[in-house]
Amino acid sequence: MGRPIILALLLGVALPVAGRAQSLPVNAHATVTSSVSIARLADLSFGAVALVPGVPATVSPANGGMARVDYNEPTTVTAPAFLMLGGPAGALLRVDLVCASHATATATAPVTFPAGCAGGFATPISGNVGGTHYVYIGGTLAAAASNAALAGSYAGSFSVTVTYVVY
Amino acid sequence: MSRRTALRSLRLLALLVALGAARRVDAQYSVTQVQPLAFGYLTQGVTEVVRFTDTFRRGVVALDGSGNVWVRVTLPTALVSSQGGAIPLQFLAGDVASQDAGKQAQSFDPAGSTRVNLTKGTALLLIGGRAIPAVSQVAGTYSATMIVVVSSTKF
Repeated sequence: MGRPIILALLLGVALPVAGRAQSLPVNAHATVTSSVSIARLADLSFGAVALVPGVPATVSPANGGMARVDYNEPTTVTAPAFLMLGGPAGALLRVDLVCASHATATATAPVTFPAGCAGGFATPISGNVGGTHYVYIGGTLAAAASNAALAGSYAGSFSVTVTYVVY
Repeated sequence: MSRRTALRSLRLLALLVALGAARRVDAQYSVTQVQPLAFGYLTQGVTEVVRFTDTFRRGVVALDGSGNVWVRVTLPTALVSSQGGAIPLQFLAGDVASQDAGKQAQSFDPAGSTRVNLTKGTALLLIGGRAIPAVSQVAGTYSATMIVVVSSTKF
């Protein structure tokens, strides 16, 4: 009876601790900070030629004001649909704005904002990197708006706004 | 040996074999993420390095169990964003370390495995690394997953 006992003990000793592997997912994360800026490159000007009351005047976006937008995330660029220029004795003159955009600063036919200046324009992101876009701003002075305008100089200001998520 | 004696012997043998089988123990390890590897806020074009000694930003994994085990980390090559952006990652020698209970952390080659002694208590795996955002990297949140594998045998 001694043999079986010895054999069994040997079996017991020979049985190893079973190897077993385990794995666990571990997270890594980072946040790239926003880098968005806008700069005025040119003002919108109807020029030195005098406006004639009752006669419409237009400055095309390509010949108007310009702003440069640098971004590293999708942004929306907007401007007001119109502004009121202030003139002599508090006179006001309405100018309707026309906005367009292009990837270069020398475009002769920039792409008009699809929903007007107030509707905005979404800057494109190409692949893994941000970029630069230029906003062109023209204006239209309707005949009715200048029909009874007082003679003199008119000026005003408006803001071009870039909206983005802050990281 | 009589038939009866032989039968008893066989029963005893079966019992002892069963006892032996009962001694077979699956090695059990507990692997727990204590904190993720957090690069924090990155600036475009600036490589961010997290050392394994960086208490707050390093990734920490706790290992519990018994005996010696081998640990390997499958490291990602990039952090990615839901918008499809990617930030390359680097893990160089000295960026990842293991620390047995009561001992100093010892760095090891991130491309290989290292032996960890769990006999004296919880061991830690400390994970640093380098994130390399592009000059015009798109803003946003990026993440990646590493896989920690623990085994009783070297691999």
